[in-house]
Amino acid sequence: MEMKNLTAIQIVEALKNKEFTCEALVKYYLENIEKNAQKNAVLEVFDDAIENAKKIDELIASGQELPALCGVPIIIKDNILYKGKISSCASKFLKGYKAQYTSTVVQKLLDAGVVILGRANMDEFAMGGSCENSAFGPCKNALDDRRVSGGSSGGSAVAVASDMCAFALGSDTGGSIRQPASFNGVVGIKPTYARVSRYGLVAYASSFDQIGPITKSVEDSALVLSIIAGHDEKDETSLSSSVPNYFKNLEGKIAGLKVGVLKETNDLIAKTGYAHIYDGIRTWLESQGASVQEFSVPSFDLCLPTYYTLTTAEATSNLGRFDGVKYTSRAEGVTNLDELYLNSRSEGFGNEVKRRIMLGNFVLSSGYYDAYYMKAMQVRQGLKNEFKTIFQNCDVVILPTTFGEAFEIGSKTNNPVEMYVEDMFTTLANIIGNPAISIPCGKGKTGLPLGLQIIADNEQEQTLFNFSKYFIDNFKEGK
Amino acid sequence: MEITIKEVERLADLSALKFSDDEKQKFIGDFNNILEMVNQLQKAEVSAQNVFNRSHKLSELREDIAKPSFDTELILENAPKQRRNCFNVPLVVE
Repeated sequence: MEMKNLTAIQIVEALKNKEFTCEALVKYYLENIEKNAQKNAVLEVFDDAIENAKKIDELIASGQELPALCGVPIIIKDNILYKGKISSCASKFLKGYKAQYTSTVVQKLLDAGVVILGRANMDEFAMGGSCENSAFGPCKNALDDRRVSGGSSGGSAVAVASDMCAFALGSDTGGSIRQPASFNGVVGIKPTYARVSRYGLVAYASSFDQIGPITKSVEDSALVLSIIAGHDEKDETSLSSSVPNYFKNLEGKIAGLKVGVLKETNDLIAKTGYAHIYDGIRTWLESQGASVQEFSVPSFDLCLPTYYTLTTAEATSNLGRFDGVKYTSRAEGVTNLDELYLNSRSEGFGNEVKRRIMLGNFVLSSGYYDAYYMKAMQVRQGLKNEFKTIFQNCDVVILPTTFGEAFEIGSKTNNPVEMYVEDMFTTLANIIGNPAISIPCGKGKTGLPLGLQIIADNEQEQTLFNFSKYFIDNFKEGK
Repeated sequence: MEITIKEVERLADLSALKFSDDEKQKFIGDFNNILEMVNQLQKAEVSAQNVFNRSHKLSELREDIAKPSFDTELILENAPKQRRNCFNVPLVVE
């Protein structure tokens, strides 16, 4: 049986039916990682991957009942801890940092039988939308080496799209799963805030961060989320409600669905140059029995300033722990403690991380706190209230994931704001906390993929999966 | 509002970061662009409300029972310098 481009679900079946061994599959992926080394998607291949695959083969041979993801090879983002392995957050600061414990998501996946192949490149500390902020060089788009992978989970998305693994884990603070998924033509979901435990995820902005899978199919996305979601006593914020079996309940369905679109995104969509594609989707949805209604959210254009105010405020506190004392890096030749802090941080962090720490301190500092931080918190609460009402009147809201296909490497690095504007469509879901998925919906002028983003009410991931399954199975571009 | 060198130095101090004079100049340019974007918040019409209310239910809190935690050796594994089972830093007492 051919191993190319298999989904996790296909792999589980094939291994069960002894079509090939897990060892052979892992070797296939490792070769693919090697062949695609110029993409710079994978920072490290773990040396025990083949050994772990052999253990899976023994388990399969033993005839025991097999776990749900038995033998599925995956890659994890470099900010998700796996005991004994390096988790560098693609930062010079944490270059040699070895995780002292395993994150809850990784543990759940290991219990479900996955083999972890390695760790994926990302923007340093998940701050960025192109993977160009990695201290270890940018990750290139799966389909075009001159273009960005997107970010911050760029390596994870490219690893999936270039068939270096079955699926990958990413994290999403303002679009970091959905945007790279869109740029590389794969499926990426940011679950409801607190649906997945953050224990063992290196924190960027704690009230926004969420881990999710990047996969080759909606089915895989549903299956993996069913496994990684759930309450965790090690993450007090994690939701205590029970987790549906999204995969078992998966039913491609659009008829009768109330689909919302946002009036305020119309002008932005016109600017993308792809209004015909997104308008076409609206028309198609109606032809399939869905109703499309427009809602107005006047403060939509405040998403970006709200996002950059609140996330940098949280980041400045979260990154305080990197001080040259506890985590691997320390500046040489320092004579006192202040110098130790100052030099270690100044040498260890990249420019974007420094900018965000500075902005965070600005919005929190005396004299500015009320005008920035408090104001942003109030806008956030206002947006949450508005969407609570919107989701009483519709099932999903659709909008593009990005302004267009992946941009060229280096084209936005000179102007931070130009890069921030890339997050225009994605930060909303993190601000309000709702689940959002990006699925491929067509191709741009360059032939590279475009994404459709779907947002649902809190904890309604099933609606996202059901919509996405129907869309991918039935939507034909241009029809 | 334009940011000044003095303001950049104040923020650098709060951030425990240091910048060369050239970096400070570059930073001022970038930061002013960012502030222009963030300043859109000023036009927001917002109502006073308790914004620190959690939007989702608090999970059950754990009983306060001591359990084994990480051992010192493991925690110190990543310390750039350690001594007698402690993090080692330059002398603080003057």
